[in-house]
Order: sequence, then C-alpha cells, then structure tokens
Amino acid sequence: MVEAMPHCRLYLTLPARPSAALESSLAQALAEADVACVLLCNDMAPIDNSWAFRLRELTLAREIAFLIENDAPRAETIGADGIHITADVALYRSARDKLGQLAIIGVGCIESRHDAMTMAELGADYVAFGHAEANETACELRVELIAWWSEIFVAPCVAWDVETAEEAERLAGLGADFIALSTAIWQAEDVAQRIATIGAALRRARTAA
Amino acid sequence: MTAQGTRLWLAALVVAIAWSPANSAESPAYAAYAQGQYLTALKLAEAEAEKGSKEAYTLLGEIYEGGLGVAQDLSKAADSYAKGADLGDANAQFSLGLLVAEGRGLRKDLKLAANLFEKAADGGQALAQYNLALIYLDGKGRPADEKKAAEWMQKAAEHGLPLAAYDLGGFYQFGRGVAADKAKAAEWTGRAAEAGLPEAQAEYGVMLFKGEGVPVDEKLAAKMFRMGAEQGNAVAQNRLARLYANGVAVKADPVQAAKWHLLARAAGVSDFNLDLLLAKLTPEQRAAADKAAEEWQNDRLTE
Repeated sequence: MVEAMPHCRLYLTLPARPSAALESSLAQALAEADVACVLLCNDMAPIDNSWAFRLRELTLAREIAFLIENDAPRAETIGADGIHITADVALYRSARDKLGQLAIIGVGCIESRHDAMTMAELGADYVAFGHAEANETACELRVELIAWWSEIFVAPCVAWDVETAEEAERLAGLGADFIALSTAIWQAEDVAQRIATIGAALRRARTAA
Repeated sequence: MTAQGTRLWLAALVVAIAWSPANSAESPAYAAYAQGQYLTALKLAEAEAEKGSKEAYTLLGEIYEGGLGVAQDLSKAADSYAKGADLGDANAQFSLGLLVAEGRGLRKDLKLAANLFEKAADGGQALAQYNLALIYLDGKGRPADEKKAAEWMQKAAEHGLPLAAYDLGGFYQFGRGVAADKAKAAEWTGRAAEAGLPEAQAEYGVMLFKGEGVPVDEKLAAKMFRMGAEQGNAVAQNRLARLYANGVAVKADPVQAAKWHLLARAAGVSDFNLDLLLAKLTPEQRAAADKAAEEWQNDRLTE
C-alpha cells in the first residue's frame, strides 16, 4: 500500500514573545505533524534574537523552512530561509535585493486580488489569503480567493490564519498549497495534538483539480 | 536552504550481517551447506567436528542458530560456537560474541562479547573488528576509547567492509579518535559509496558537490545521488530533486524533481523550496510526478 502524497502541507506561525511552553509544544508538533514551514511573527512584542536562533535550530534539525515576518536584516542575521511580508511593492523589492533570489519571500495579501496578482508578478514565492478576524464573511471570502487563485495562477497560495481541521480540509480541497495556522492556536491545550489532527485532515483532502 | 545531511551514527551496537562462511573450501560439510543440503551438512559437520575441525563446530553453530534443516536451537548453537571458539576459529568467536552481546541463547554479557570480538578481531575477522570498534565508541562492554575505536574501524574498513569504511569516513570528518581530515573522510566515504552503501552515496555526493576533501565533480555527485536515491535514501532523493529543480548536472525537469521530492518527503526529508516548486506544477505535471513516485514505490515493494 503506497502512502498517498499530500497536496497540501502545514505552515505554522509563532508569536514573537519567547515561551518555553510554546517551544516544547512546537518541538512536539514538528515531531508529530508534517510541517513545511515555520514563521516567527513580528507581532505584539519585538523579536528576541536568542529566541529566533533557538527556533532556527529547532527547524533546521528537521530541515523545515524558517521565515521571519517583515524583517529582512534579522532574517539574514538569524540565517532564516526567508521572510513573510505585507503586500507592498517597495518592501518586496528591497527585501529581494537584500536577500537574493534563493531566499523565500512570501507575501500576505489578505483580501486583495490586485495585491496578489502584483506580488506574484514580481516573483513572490507565495501569496497568502486570510486574516485573524475570522468572522463568517472573512472566512467565505478566503474560500473564494483560494479557489479563484489556485484555479488560475501558478504561484503557490497559502490559506492564512486557519483555526480548525474542517476549514483546513475545505481550503486544501479547493487548492490551497499550504495551510497557515493562526498564532492563537498556541494558547490551546494539547496544541501538538490539535496540529496533528489538522495535519491528518490535510492528508484526507484531495484537490478538486 | 536546509541542514546539511548529518551523519547518523549506527544506533545498534551490534550489526548482524549475513556472514558467509569463509572456510568453505575443501570441506565436504561446507560444500553441502553452500548447496543448501543442510541435513547432509549437519551429519558431515558432526563427523568433522569429532575429528577436531574448528570450522566444523562453527558450521554446526550456524545450522542450529539459523534453524536450517533442524529446529532452531540457540543453546546448541552457542555450545558449538564455543567449541569452535576455544579451538581458535575467528568466525566462531565472532558469532558467539554476537549471541552474547544480544543475549540470545546465553545471558547477555557485553564484557564477554567484547572479549570474544577482540579475539576474532585479532584473528582478522572484519565484522568482529567493526563491532569491537562500535563497542569502544559506545563504552559498553569496554571503557569508551575513541582512539581504539578508530584503529579497529580502520582495520575493518581495510578489509573492505562498507559500513566500516563509511563510519571511518565519519571519524575523519569529525575528528573522532583520529585527527580530522577532510580528504580521508571523502576517501573512505567514497569507498563505502562505491561499495553500494546508500547513506555513503548521499554523503559522498554532497562532498563531491561542495568539493569537501575531494575536487568538485557535479556529474559524479549527481550519479551518487541517483544511486542513493534509487536505493531509497531520502537525503539522496532530496538532493537529486534539487538538481532536477535547478537544472544542475542534469537537465532541468520539474516532474523528476517533484517525483524525488515526493519520495524524500514521504520518508521525512522536508524541503519548502521544493514544496513551492511542487505547487507550481500544472495538474498534468503533478499527476505525472505522483504516478512516477507511486510506481517507484511499487517497484520497491515488489523487489
């Protein structure tokens, strides 16, 4: 019996604030789930270099890509694989100049079709749709954008700020290449278990294509 | 973008490898054994053993240990090996050492195992030399001593044991028991690779690619990655996928890149860059890659 090759993988986002509990949950999650990429967010608290270095080591040991949000110089210092930025042409260009062609530069396009097309045209390695205030309207829009994008465009797309296995499976089925889980997930109990459950849902999903 | 494949030290202390009896020449018992006539071999070996042939005791041990033509009987096997060992047969000493090290048919005793391996190793038995090296590395059964581990590893490697050549390459790479020496690391890893060890092929490929201890040779590196990949080494599969993705040393081929990436990923080697490549494939290319990966796995299962 050959194991099915999943079409969609997990993308984890981490809050900037260092936390031993989070670090151990992350290690457990990486051991149990099939994770493609880890992003250290530049939210609430400033990024702490020693925290970033520890995460770099943790991910490197498993050959998992490590990105930093909106901070190309720090990505370079830490030896990250690249960055995730907000959709902005000047920001993208300066980051690409600094980090070079081999670095991964992904762009959060939230809800804008125009941004996504512009950034993909420029050479963004992926575009991401979705945002944290996940009310019903926002979720439906994300579904619509993912389906639209993966139907027409070549650049990989990431469904952003996903919280549940049901959403993840649905978005994967519509063609999302990666499912980025919300940073809020780290507040849950049994985080690693939850992440593994969502990972298992992705294995079930098959693209419509 | 990802970590350089790190050498995995062999976790198991003792590696049992199908050992073909070295003394098959001239002995009717071994001749029968080699032809699979185990009951005949058993009778002949019993007679030869009675006349004091140490190799015959070893053969008896192998027949009982393997349950070949008779019910498996580990204590009889141990007993026969012990007689052969006392008479000075290196293969018997080694085989008895394995039983003692694993506690099969005898109480587990790593010190005794080490003594037996050492005797066999002194007698030129390559697997015993290898296992003795591992014992010195591990510090169980003998006090840990990396220098002695390296010396025995060198001997086993010189006897042409691929695993020993590979581990010796690691000793030179990390300066364990010997002075670190990139050229020697590459030489021994290369020998293990040539002998067909997939882990060694993956690592030798990396050395050739980066020119570590050996002149850069991308073509040969690609060949090593391919051989390792075909044998199922996930690191080699990942590196081969990267070559196809970037058109380095091979013609760029996204479907081949995806095929090898899918296989490597299923075996636990993640690579986000190749995931991104995968996501950019057309549905037709993706289907072709899935099919190629599946066929490769099916071929392996039926082998």
